[in-house]
Amino acid sequence: MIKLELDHRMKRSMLDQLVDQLKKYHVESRLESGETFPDYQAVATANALDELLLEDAYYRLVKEGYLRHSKDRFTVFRLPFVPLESIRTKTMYETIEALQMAPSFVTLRVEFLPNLPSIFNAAIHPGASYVKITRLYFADQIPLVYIESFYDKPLFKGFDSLDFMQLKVFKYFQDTWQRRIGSHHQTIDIVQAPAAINETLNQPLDASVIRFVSETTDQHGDILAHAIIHTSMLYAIESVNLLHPETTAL
Amino acid sequence: MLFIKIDKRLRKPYYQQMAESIEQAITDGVLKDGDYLPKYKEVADFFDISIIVARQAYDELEARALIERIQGKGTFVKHRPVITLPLESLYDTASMFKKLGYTYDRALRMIDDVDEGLYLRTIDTADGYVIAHQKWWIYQHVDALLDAIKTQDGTFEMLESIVSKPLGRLENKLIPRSATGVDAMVLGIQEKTPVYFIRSFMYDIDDALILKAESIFTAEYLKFEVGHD
Repeated sequence: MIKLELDHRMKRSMLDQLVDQLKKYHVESRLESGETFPDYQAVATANALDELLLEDAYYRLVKEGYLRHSKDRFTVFRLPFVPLESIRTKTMYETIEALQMAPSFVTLRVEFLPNLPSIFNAAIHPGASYVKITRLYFADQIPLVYIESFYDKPLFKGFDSLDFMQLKVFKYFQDTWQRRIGSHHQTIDIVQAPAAINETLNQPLDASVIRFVSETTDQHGDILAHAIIHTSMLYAIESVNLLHPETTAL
Repeated sequence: MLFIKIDKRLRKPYYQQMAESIEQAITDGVLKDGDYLPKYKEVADFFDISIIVARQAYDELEARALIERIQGKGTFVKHRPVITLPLESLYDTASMFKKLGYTYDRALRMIDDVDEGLYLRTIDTADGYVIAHQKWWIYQHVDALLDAIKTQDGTFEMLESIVSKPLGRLENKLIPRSATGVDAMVLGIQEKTPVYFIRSFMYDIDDALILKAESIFTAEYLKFEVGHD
């Protein structure tokens, strides 16, 4: 049974506290997608909580993509695992489409920078200028991926006439320069995301996220983009290895 | 003490100068993982500053996980170089670490019968640092594995023990997770610290399940890499 505790000294509302704890249970439990989430009435009784408050918390989880509701029960929702092949070569839009979910994004910010952030270990080029686009990607309207992308400014022709809020950047590069994604080279680590990012991704404020530090090259191996990508706990990577049948001694 | 620098002519708070100079020494490799740091009193006497200032500097470094205070022993540098591993070849961590030049040990902590197989819990260390806490459910080659455990004194190579016929596919699923209770304790990290949770399924060539595993890897000094060579 789920153990829930409310701290009345906290500024966070009781509903938010319950939602945070239920999300943690969702992530940490071994429940698979489609399995029944513990009945909210039983959970309310066991924890001496108001049933209506808990019901509200369950509906918040439905709205945020953690649970599904059908008939009288709530079931766990987890995304299909994202194949490794996809994160090597596809755009985020295509990756979400390949999961048979509806992709969409909102552009949160467009900025100009003189240098790339130090996380990329890139050399400083005097006179260089980068465009930084911060976007939030959704799968079936669930916020999944927070991306800060960095592009060389000269890659955008007719800069002022471009609508960066809507622009599909890699498609634009392909149409304008005939440069398409060759591959992404990414390092993956798990970090505690800044609270603002967790909030955007509808996660508990202290949750862990997968962070990709990514360098995208075109078909000739020339750099096309850099990105820092934070993905929610609902997103996970599947790395499928097909071992050679004769591989017996590993 | 040479690596601590406090310049009283500067406006910057002493504790900040002290913390920054220690951090610099760690980054430059002057101080290495496990190196002993002087007591507050020694620092305070040497620089003629208050003990509170020295403690404040250590507090800040500890909060950023650069040093570790061990009750009754002292304060030590905690700085392990980050290891980057290819995610694609995450099928045999022991071999992977050995190839990179680390010693790798897998110690058995628990063994139990489960339906149609065996349940094991292991703790893996690389160069003496606990790196993974793993749970295994083995469905085939159980006898071979038990023999290996008997003969190898609790430390053994999982795959070498169970592979007697060609392997088929292996699926790894990487899921972000914050460390909880037992895992945090075993890995020697704080609860809620980010960890890699990896669920693996290994099949034989006829696509029958050989084993499944749930592994918690510390994210503190481990990274994965995906992409072109």
